Amino acid sequence: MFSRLKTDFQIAFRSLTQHGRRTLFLGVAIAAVTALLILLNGLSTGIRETMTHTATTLSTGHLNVGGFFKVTAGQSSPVVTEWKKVLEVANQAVPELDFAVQRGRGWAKIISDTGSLQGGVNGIDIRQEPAFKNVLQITSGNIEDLAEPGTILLFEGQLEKLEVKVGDAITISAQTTRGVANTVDVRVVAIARDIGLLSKWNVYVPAATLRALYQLNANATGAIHLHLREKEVKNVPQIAARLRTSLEKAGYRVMDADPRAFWMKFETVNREDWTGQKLDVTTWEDELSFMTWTLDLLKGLTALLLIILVAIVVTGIMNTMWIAIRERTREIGTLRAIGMQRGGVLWMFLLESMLLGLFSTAAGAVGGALIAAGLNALNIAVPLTVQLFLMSDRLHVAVHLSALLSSVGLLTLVTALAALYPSFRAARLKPVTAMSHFG
Amino acid sequence: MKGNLSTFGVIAQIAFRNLFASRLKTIIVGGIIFFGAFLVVVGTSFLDSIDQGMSRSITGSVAGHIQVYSSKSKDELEVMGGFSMEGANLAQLDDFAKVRDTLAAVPNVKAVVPMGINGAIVTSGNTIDVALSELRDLARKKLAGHASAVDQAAYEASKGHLRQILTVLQGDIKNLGQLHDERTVSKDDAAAVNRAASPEFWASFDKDPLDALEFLENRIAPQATDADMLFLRYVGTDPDAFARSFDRMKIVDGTSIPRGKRGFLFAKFTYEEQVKLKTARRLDKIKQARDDRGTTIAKDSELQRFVKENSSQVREILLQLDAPKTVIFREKLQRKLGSGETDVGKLLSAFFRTDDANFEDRYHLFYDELAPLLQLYRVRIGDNLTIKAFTRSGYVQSVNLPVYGTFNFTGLEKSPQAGALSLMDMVSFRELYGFLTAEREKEIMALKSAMNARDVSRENAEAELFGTKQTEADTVQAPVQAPVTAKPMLVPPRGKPRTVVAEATPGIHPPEGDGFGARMIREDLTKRLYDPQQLQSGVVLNAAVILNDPKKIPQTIKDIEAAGKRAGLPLKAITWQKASGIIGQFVTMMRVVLYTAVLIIFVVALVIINNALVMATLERVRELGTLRAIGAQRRFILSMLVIEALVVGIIFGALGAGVGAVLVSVIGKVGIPAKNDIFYFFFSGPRLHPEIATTNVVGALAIVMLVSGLSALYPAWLAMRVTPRQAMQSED
Repeated sequence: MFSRLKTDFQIAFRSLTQHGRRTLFLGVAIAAVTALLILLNGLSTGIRETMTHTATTLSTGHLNVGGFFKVTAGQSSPVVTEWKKVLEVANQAVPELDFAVQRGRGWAKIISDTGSLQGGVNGIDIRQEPAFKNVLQITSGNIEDLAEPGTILLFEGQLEKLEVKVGDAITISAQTTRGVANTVDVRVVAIARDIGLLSKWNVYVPAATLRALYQLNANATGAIHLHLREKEVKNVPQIAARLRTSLEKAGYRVMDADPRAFWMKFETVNREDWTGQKLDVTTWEDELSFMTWTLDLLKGLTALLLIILVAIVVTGIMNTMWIAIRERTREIGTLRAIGMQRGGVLWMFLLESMLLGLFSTAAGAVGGALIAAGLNALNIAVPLTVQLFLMSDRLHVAVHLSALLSSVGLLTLVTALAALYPSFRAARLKPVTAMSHFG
Repeated sequence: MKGNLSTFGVIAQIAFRNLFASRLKTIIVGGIIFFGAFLVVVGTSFLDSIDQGMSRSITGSVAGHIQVYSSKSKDELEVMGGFSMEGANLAQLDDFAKVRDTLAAVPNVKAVVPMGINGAIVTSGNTIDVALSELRDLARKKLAGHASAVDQAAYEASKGHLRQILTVLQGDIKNLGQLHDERTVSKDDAAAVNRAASPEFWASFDKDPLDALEFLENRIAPQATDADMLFLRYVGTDPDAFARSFDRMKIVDGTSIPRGKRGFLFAKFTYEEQVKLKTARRLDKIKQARDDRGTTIAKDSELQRFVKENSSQVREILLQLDAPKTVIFREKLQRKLGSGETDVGKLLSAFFRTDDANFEDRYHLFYDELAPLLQLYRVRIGDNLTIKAFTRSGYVQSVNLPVYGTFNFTGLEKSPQAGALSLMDMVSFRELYGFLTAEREKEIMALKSAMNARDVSRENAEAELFGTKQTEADTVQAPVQAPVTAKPMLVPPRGKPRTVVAEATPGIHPPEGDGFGARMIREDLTKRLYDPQQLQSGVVLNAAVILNDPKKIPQTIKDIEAAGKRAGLPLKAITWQKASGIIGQFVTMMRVVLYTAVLIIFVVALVIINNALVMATLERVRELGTLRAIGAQRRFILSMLVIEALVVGIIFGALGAGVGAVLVSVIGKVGIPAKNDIFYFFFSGPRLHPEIATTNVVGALAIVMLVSGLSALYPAWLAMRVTPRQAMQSED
């Protein structure tokens, strides 16, 4: 049995090498498509990884308990009151929890002597943040100083507008929930390197400073970010549903699941007829939904491009197989005459095609992985418009072994399937007709 | 010559025959080429159409062909808005008259429109304000002794309404305590509300209604924060010049802003999208989706969401219903739904729970019978709009403007880009942006002389106001002080923005508050005429330039910048694509993506075609050898094979391009419906009507010819090397 297989492989291999040129061309095409598949997938994965990595520390947890507090029916603030009690419920309901942090949410004008910008002001308790410090690369100042009240962390890109340095004072101005303009003065204590789009409009101040800006009491925060253990992240939707039920059982009013970022919900919430607190459980994908559409777009484009390419390659393979079968009709006849079954012929051609597929896709995969590694090593800076898509100012292509293997498997399967029909036709040849065939 | 021609004829003949002889190869190669040409034609047509749509929307609505702004600006100009709502940080162009004259002298410039773009929060009046002014009118009538029985009843009803509002407010104050730092919640405020809500207060109300009303207006109304907020982006401009230069602009409702008056025009799209009663807007959208896109509520999840929201958010309608209207609504809805339910909220909720079967019916019932009783737009034409905007230096400036009407651009009615910017007069814009207007200057002068302050030049006053570096500290005393130096106000007294602002810039702020006197002064300002000359000569942020020949944009940009240098103006000119920021560049990026994809596809196709041709050639070794043996030159063989490939390329390429063109024009007639907001945006409207251009077809043909020619080279070269002997030796 085993030796049979070995012979089969030998024959297939010999046929391939005999038609070296043809095999080479086809192989190059298949390899190129594989490499492309791997690169494009690597790009989506890269964007996704950058997003989950940076965004889940900067602006959302894997799961968030946020919500709105409405003083009057027509106006809402993105606030969770008595958040410690909410956190207790979450702690009970989510055993997968790695750690939880609370963040204040605000939108304000940040004014320096020479410029200003509007942006999201995040209230943060730096001493309670395990991951935040690791994600940010501080270029000047000290992030620990963010523990003192009246301080602020900015990103490099924001300096263009504000023209400040560590130690300078700037003013934050916002409207409180009562429609009153209020300001606080803060001192710049740290400046971090840009990390994609989020660093364009986010700044960080101590939670207490944000509360002072909005005149909130100490029990109020913007949202509780729940970070799950790495391997539980994929179960986020189920955990979110469970958390929602638990919060309801604990007597909280919980909003219906709505896969949008919290700041897109104001309009809806303002129009609903209730006052007081309602909680909203969201996943990181919800909070980033305004960015993930680029990912969907990229995936769509990748799929479209690959379908077209695969169609072309399949045409090429079928063409080659037709001709190979025509050329080898006599060989097939002889083999059949000396006792090879139809299945054997089918198997012979399929195996040939599969071998071709396997070698080329493997070569393509290696090539793709090398190109990806090269691109990452070059650390290419991308223009602003592209940043909108990549969520990062650097090109990052993430190629994982699993992606390599699945690409190789998928495309090998496709080549084998492309050969199925021609091989089937070859197997149906009668030994007599095949042997008397000319040319 | 003649010999060459006849040789060519023979070659072509043989080539054609060969195509038919090896059909399989022809079909495969042809198929790939067909598909490639098809893809290029369809892809480029689509992108061109999107590009054209966007360019029409952007150039035709606000950007013009070229935008000019100060080269000293920190940010790049983004007409359509960047990542956030705020306008770009631009340096001002001090004297528009000079800029305009300089630009007008540049060849190819047709018109120059002054502009400034910013975004702001706009509050439409709160319920309590409206209720109080209604009650005040009625009370006056009553006091004057000519109140009819109807008025008397209305007076009592109005009092009842106010008491209800106060009860709600009491609840709100309690909520406030949960949220806010207790130090910032004033006890006096809560006490005032409690007093106003008490039965004693209302028992004695009729004794001196005006006095009681004053208490309500001064102490209670400011605490009500239920005003609806709109986020608007607007362009400040010279309304006349704007309408003249963007000649597709037309007024939909109301009138344009009269010459020399301050005023606001809503972009119709924004007006519908943001100001219209949401329920009605959602009904419109469902109707539009069903009519234009042929989709159904049952199939479309977005429409299902609209239906759900309509049925759950009936509060807005309920708030508008007074007692008599409630009765009418109840009766109509009960009849329609055949229900005995008496709660109008529940009836409305049931009424809006529409499905595909009853939607049309209910849509018409809503607009024919219910809508006339409702205020469909939160801000009506003729209302005053309070616009609060951050000035450059960060304090909140507010201006009251009458809404004169709405406008849109012919052909761009449905374009979100073209309908994103509303319009106001430049004089009000300058004020909101923190520039000193002539009026304000006069006021300041008056105040200064009253305060015995030293004279300040306009130049320095502005510098002081913005806190720029030219400040000479000794020229001006503390009163005009940049707000950044204001103390942090954790506990502002009595929650009024004017307090903060007043400290920063005393005297130059319009009186705020809802008191009667303050309102009088503000209204007076909006009625005051300004000198049209002010529009022409003052500060602007940017200017739109409209050209006679849009094709010459790059040349004109050079000319403008050169003219600016000659005139000593720091002018920077950019194309509309650049001015529209991310949006304009998006199409360029899509183009790059498409071309890359096409390139990759053709490279792979090249390899596959090449492979097919090589195999076909190898099969024909005998034939080729024979041809060589009977005297065919190598060049003959080479041209024969290349012509063969080119013929396949041309035939199948033309077929593919043709089918693509037909498809595009068929789709162009029907239009592709925009599935959701994102598509709506890229299609510049509800449907994309792609058009086929000659360049698309020619381009596609050129590409496929190139590919087929290239892919034939290697096999032809192989064939060329075939010797007659090889052919004869060949076994089969």
